[in-house]
Amino acid sequence: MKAPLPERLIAILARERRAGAMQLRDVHALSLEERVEAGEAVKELAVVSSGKDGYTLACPEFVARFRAGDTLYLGDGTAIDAGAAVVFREYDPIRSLVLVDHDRFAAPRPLPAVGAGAKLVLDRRDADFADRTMAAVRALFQSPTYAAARELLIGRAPRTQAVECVAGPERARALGLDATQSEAFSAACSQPFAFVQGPPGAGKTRLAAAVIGAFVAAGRRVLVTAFTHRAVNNVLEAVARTDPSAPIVKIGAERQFEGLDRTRVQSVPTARAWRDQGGACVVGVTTHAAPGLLGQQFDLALVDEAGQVSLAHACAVLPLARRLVCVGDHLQLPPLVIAEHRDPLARRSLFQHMHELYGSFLLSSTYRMNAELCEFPSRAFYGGRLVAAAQNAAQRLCIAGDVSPILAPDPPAVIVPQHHRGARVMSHAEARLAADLVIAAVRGGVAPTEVAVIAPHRAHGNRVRALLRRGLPELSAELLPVVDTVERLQGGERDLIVLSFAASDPQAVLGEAQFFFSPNRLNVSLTRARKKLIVLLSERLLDAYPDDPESLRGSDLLRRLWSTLPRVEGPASAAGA
Amino acid sequence: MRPIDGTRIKESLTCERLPWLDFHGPRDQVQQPTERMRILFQSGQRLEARILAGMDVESVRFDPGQFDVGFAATLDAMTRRVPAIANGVLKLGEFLGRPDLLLLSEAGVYEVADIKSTQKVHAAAMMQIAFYSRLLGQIAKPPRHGHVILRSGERFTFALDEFAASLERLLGRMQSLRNRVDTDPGPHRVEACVDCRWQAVCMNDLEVADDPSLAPDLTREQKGALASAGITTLRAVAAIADTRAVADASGLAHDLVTRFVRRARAVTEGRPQFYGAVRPELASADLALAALVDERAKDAVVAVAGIVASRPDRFRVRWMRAREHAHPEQEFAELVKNLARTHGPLLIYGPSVRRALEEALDLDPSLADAVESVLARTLDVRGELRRACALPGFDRRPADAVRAAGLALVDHDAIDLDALGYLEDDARTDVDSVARWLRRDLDALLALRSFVVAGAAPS
Repeated sequence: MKAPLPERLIAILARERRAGAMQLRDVHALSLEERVEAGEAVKELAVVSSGKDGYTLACPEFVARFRAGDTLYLGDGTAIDAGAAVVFREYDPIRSLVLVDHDRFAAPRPLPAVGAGAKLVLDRRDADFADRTMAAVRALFQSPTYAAARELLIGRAPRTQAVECVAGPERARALGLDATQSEAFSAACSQPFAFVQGPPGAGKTRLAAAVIGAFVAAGRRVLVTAFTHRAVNNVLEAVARTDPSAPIVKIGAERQFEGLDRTRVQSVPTARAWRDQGGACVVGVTTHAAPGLLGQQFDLALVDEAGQVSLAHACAVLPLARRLVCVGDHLQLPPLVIAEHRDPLARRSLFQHMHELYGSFLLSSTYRMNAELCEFPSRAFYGGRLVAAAQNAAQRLCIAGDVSPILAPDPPAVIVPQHHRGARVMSHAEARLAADLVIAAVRGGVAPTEVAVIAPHRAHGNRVRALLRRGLPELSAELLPVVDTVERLQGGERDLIVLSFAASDPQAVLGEAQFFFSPNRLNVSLTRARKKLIVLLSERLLDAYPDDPESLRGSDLLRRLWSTLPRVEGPASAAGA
Repeated sequence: MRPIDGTRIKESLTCERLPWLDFHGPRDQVQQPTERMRILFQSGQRLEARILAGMDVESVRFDPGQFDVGFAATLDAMTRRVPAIANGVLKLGEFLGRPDLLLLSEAGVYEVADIKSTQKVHAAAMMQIAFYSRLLGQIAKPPRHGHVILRSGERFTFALDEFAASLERLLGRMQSLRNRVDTDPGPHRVEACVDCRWQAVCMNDLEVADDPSLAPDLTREQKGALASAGITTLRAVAAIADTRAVADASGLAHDLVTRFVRRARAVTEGRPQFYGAVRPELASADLALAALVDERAKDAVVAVAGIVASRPDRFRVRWMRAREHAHPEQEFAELVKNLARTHGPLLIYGPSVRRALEEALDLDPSLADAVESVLARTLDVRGELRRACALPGFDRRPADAVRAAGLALVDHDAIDLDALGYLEDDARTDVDSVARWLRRDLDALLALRSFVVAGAAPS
């Protein structure tokens, strides 16, 4: 018999914490060179300046996997956890500088003394929010105050409960929402809860802003939350654009305001520091920080990218509002899970959970992809129900000059078969082709900001990036086309996407099948392009048969993609990488 | 000519050459099943009988090899709308299927169910069922779902159209091999070769060709990439002096080429090659843990045992998930509490112990903190071995690594078969065989520890 839901959620959180700690311990057990090689450390750092916020470090070479917000130690590289606790802000490739902030939530510690000429090292540090989330789970299931939220989570919330209708169909019409957006908007404004599935480019953020705007216009208080700061900021910025007078607050540190207009969005450093001013407001906070708001009551909680929010994290959000709207897509990127779990609940997102309990509204028009680009994802993932909106159905990529047939406007989606062998994470030949295609597109008039390369592995992405730096010397590093994993591009879009798989060894990729053959990641990878998608793929990968059913399903999708999309041969090159 | 059948489909996922040999290989050189495979087969039959006994089925009976008779009987049963048909035959042209069950769904369509002695669903089983379903769909109304019935009796159902492209590609390859459109893929050594009926044929071919895959963990594609750089034999791999040049010519990553060279030298010289350092605490760790995990099931843990290195007589087996043990949760709690009282690193080999302790938290979630503290102290000898040393053989299990390292080990195969027999045979209650397996693995663990500490460079 299965354990009760809260016990399962806490057990999942505990296992995730253990797995994170074990991973970190294994990384710290490596030598410095091994850690740097694995992208888990940066060496040869020297302090250029230090201040009340953090440090600026000279960094001759940066190949780490660190992202903004990652918690790190700055130390001598040997006694790793004796280093100062910092948070990674960014790497400036132009000036070869790394910027890190003091971690306000960690015990302050000075930098270790290093001898003259010796350098500092950045190493990964554990950021454990599990206790906070576990407390939120227990609070949800133990407090009598949160009975309604509990009922909602376990599927017993009544749909017919009378609630205020904050806006009607006329507002949807005035906002120019399409038919399925209007239907979802009306439900969100008139029902106690509504779950909206937004396939790629279907206008989730626009809809979210419209719903929030309606509640604000009615004088209500709205909580906006998501797993990442970027997702929260996207929604807040969209609200600010549509309603410049809306009072908007973002809870978070200075570095977590990327993309926000600071003239329109007020900042508050922590959830506990936020004070209700009375009246309508929009408060943005990540699901990690949401437990700090327990005790507050909003009129609406809107969870964006709810397909990436785990059920455990949702427990901190549900008690915070009388009504709930979840916008997301369980067919795109799922919650981040690092441990192996037998309990399927570990991989179940808030959106998937609610979708299966209560159903959801599907936004069926995509305002991103043209009709041809939409076809395969629509059939493979959305039962054929996703269609390109009329305004973008026929859009095409136009490149000036005599370009490769690969870059021709038609067909909009092509596969370029790769003939290298034995590649597991990187192929020089494929990286060369990817870079050449991007360079040709930029030279042919496509804005660099409208091109991106998606590569599953950092090593391959680094190689492509290096070739782009060499091939587009007139562009500064921050203006180069983005080359990154699909996780960094969820929510993003470009006119031209080059999807470079790099691998060609069907046995070698089985070791990371759940990552490589994830159907959700494939969906996101195939749906970033507006006008042109170029898939660089080795037919040998089609002979990989991952052992678990979900990855096998992903590999089947890849086989279907191969037989569906037209193939255009690349320039003749050696079979080796 | 042999037909394309479900077993061949399933096995092709393990080895590219296996179907070719089944179709065209010298039949007089097929080996009898190994003892291990015989035990597994008999266990599978007992499981099938047990599950079928609990169902109302009509079994199709025919003399061995008389598949036409079996097919006719199956069609007859389907015409009579028998709800559950066991051991039916589906035959069409070059294809032959023998699904464990044909179940009549509520929609009036027959669907395929196969019984597997594993605890999880594997791709091979799904492809086998997809194949049977495809055949079925050419004889009767096409089914939309297939079913895997697991060891526990749990049923996993999947939508066939989500795996259709995978099956078509496999079938295409089968047909190409059978009809000699594709040529013999050639031998390539993998860990599963040890139980293969064609092992003698392939090993002979590998040795005659001095095939690079005689060194462990080289994939076919990597072998092909080396060949494109002019490296086609094991000795040629071992003789590579300029690894960067070969990496550039082959397109393989430099660290991969370096690894292949070390392993190839280990095989050609017949001894391990040391090149790296190990963690200093490896030398002083005093407690070793082993777990028995049924590799096929991947998650069926039977027991965890510990041994104190400085006191090798102190061997304890705790926490049996075996059926005859009345209180596994008490045994698990005692194990964890005893471990939590120890100090220093805990030697383990691979992920089995961690996985076993993690999964056993289902028995007693309140022990999570204690388990966590134990796990935090584990030190993986296999990981250290791989960092410091290339062995001339596979190393996934401690006994294999000991053999590859040239260390003495007693009764390797006999112990494995004893314990395997215990795992598979519900009627047996001999836990001593499990204890012998665990003790053997612990001794292997300690021997490997000493071996790698002695041979590795100081950290």
